[in-house]
Amino acid sequence: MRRWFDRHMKLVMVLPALIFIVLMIIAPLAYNFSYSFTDWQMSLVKAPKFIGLQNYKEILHDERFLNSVWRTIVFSSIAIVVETILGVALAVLINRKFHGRRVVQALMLLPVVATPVAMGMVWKLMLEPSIGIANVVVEALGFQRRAFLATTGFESMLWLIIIDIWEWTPMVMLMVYGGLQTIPLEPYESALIDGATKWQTFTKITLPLASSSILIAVLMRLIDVIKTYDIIYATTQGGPSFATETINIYGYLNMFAYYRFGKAAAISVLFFIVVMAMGCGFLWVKSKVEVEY
Amino acid sequence: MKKLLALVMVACMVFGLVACGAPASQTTAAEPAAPAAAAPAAEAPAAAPAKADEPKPYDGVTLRVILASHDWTNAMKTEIPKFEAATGMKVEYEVYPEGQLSDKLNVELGSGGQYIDVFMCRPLQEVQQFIKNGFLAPVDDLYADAEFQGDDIIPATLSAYQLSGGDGTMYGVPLVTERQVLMYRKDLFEKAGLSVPTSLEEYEACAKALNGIEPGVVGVTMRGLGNPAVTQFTAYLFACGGDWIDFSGEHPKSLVNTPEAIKAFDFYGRMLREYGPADCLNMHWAECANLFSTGGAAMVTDADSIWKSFCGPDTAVYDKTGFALTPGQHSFNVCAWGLAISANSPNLAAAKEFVKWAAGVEEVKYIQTSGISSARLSSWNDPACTANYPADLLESIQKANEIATKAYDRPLCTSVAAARDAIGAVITASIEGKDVAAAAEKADAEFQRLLDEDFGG
Amino acid sequence: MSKKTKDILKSVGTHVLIYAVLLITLFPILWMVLASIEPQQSIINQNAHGLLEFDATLRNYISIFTEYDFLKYTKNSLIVAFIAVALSLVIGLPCAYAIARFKMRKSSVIVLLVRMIPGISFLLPWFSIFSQLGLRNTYTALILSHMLVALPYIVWIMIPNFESIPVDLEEAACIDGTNRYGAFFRIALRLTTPGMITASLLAFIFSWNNFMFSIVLTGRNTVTLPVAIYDFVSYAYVDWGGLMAASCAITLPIVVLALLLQKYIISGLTAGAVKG
Repeated sequence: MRRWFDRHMKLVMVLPALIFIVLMIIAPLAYNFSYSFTDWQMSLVKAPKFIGLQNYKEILHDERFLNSVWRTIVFSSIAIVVETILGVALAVLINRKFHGRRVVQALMLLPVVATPVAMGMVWKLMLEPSIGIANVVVEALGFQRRAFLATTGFESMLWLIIIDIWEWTPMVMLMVYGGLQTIPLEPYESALIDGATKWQTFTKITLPLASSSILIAVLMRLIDVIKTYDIIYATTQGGPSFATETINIYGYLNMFAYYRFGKAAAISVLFFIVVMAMGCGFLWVKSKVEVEY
Repeated sequence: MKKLLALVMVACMVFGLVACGAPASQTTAAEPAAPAAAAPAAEAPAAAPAKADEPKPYDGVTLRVILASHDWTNAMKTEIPKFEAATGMKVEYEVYPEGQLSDKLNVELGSGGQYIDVFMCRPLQEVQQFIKNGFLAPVDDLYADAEFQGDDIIPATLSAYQLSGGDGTMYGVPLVTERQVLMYRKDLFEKAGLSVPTSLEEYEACAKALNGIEPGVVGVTMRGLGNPAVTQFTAYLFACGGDWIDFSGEHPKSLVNTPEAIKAFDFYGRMLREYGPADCLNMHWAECANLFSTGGAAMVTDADSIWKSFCGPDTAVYDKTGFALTPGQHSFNVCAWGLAISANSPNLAAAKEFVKWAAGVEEVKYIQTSGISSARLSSWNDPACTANYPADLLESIQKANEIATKAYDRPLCTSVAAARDAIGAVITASIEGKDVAAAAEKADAEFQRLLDEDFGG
Repeated sequence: MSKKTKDILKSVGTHVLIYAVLLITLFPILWMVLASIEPQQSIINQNAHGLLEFDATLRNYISIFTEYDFLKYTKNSLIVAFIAVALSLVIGLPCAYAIARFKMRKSSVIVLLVRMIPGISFLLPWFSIFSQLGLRNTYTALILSHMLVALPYIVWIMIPNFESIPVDLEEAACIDGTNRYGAFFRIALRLTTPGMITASLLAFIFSWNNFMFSIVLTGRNTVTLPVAIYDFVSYAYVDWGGLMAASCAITLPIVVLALLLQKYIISGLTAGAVKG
């Protein structure tokens, strides 16, 4: 018996976690998968009818779904691009010498770790058109009052992106800052001797040497950003008039407000496949980066 | 690794099969449950106040009740212990806000509902789906119970708990009713020398005259957030001669892009765009209430049941506000909230006893006295119960009750939430000054698709 | 301009810029604190008074602990987060160790995928499974779901930690007579204590913050703090003061943790970005 345990250490060590994952994840996913081929509306008296790929067909022709996919892409890409640029800039900034580094670092952490639902509520209050501080500021600066999250155009989406940027830029900054600290001093010294400009040092030395940590930061953000949920749920719940409806919110509505469980299951299956594909891409890139590093 | 993968696959398949089979097996379980449950309810002792030394009729029964965070719930919190003392029942209630309540009910009822006994819900929003899904226990025997006085409940509100186009079986009890009323600032009307509007034309003229009458005061405010605005918009749709669905033909037909509806969309959007707050697109009733209660708007139309948030005694405009029928004079009288019993509740008899008590004549009188618009004629007709209402509000409500011909403020279909989202988009487009006809056309197609799904077109 | 004045100017510029960024970052949180001590009338009438001109009140805080049962919610949040993290450590640490020692790249994919799956897919299946097992309205159901939040963080952060322990150390221990399990318990776990603190902290924070799983799986007795926030949004009223006080109360423990143990949290958040 003991020999068996010794020989199969790998299995013994991994098994508890694996069983947990299978029970808690694979089983629900299988449940969703099987329902995605039915027309079930959560009824207790009408058994689900098998309708083949009907739900998938419907979704792919559903303008609201396609729009939500598009919005998810726009939201994710703008947020990631801005967070990366700002994050790198801030990392370079706090890499300079200044007083209070520890305190500043700790305080910058707060948006990342603070409870998202609570933060969503705070932003909702600040951006509330009639009672929020934002419009007081806007008026004091001499502009017309704005509606912020209350617009059907791109503005409401833009504000959600800004909230996301506020929340996550510090994390990108800290990750890149960590990378910057591993860069040795020698290349900078030789650049100084060669008379390189600041910009040249930044693009030729800092960026390439910090590139792996930047890349990882981007990829980590990518897997989180496409399933952003708490903030949108707390502020707009996808409104006004679908202007901020992402895939996650649309799937949620189908399940909880429209009682279209089959359709919602199909949406979550599609969403899962996309995320899965991105995850594999992520690991592929990560393994490449680590080899170079 | 390969073996493991195979194991996982098998687990998935087994689970998938079980999952698919579950609701089907529940079908057989649910059907006999209903009649079987009706029998003990009839035998159950009436809730006569039990003496302390006698064994109480429901000793040892624990009811799980899910309630909305609503004034009704707050008022009942002190009453429930009395009920527990009288019956020996233990009532464990949980309170959730509107949105979370829906999520909770949906998940629990959808997975069987055997852990819920009684719950509060919005009948016009959810009950059609709930009935179709077999979530609700029929309560016809409650209405047949003479003590309950079912004929005292405002008849127009009963349809909220029947399957539309069904056999008239009752699936719940109305608790709170709503009509739409106009709340207006008497001081501003006096200043502008205006009289209270009764027609849509007069309403618009007033809004125009009052807009900016004092710095920071807009002419009118109404819900502008698409989905929630639908119920408030309905009064104007009726006033313009429109309706949501034409049930006269073989298949229900959407009326969203009829000329009457477009006229109403146009009117509603124009009022808010021209004389409303700049930020009205995100305004639910709470935002409207913020604005009106702090003196930022001259007029507002919304549900009478929440008048206290707009101009109650705690607000700055309490003694300056008057009430009248919504201009256009085509009010509805709807059941906003009610109680229902889960079909698979293990304590059906006790659950009915609770509903019979909570929605009974005595408790409703108490509720009405605390300022909540009830669904019982006896409490509306009792001056002691309505003493807390401002006189002109009470008058408008009673007038609305008389003239109300319709008992719905949103489309009477199953997919209410999806329909409200689709129709709300037209309201939004209209407020923004976009092409209303085009938006209505699009919503019409979507709404018709939902109707076809709901009614098997 | 001499080099010295230039340096001083640059240093001043750096400080101004950094503290300006800090202010922007903290503004929403400061606003939350401010609104939490403001009476409702003054919150909904922001135009009528200056930013700081209001009668500060602790009423909002008093009400969340008297009218609402925030002590119980806090207790629930603590119980769930603590046990979820502890159990995740029990099953996560051996898993991370095996992945690190036996170079099981493929298994680490699964761990990452777990982190990426959109949570809504789980809600209904979990609810019906937990109901059928009689686990409804129990801590067990909540803890199991929160373990799904905690486990990936723990494994993800611990893999590089275990990788960084020299294999020689463990082999030496094996020669001394312990078996490989002994080496894991006596050497590997002892050497990665800071990593374990980091992983547990992060897992704790993300369990504490979790909203989506909690809203569906909590019952009357197990409501956690993020769910309790919605107590302040009712059918007829939004109690902004209470809402903000509740938000503060929820965020405070996390803020304290972040300030005291920032070193660990930062190293956890940046795990994977910088090797070992």
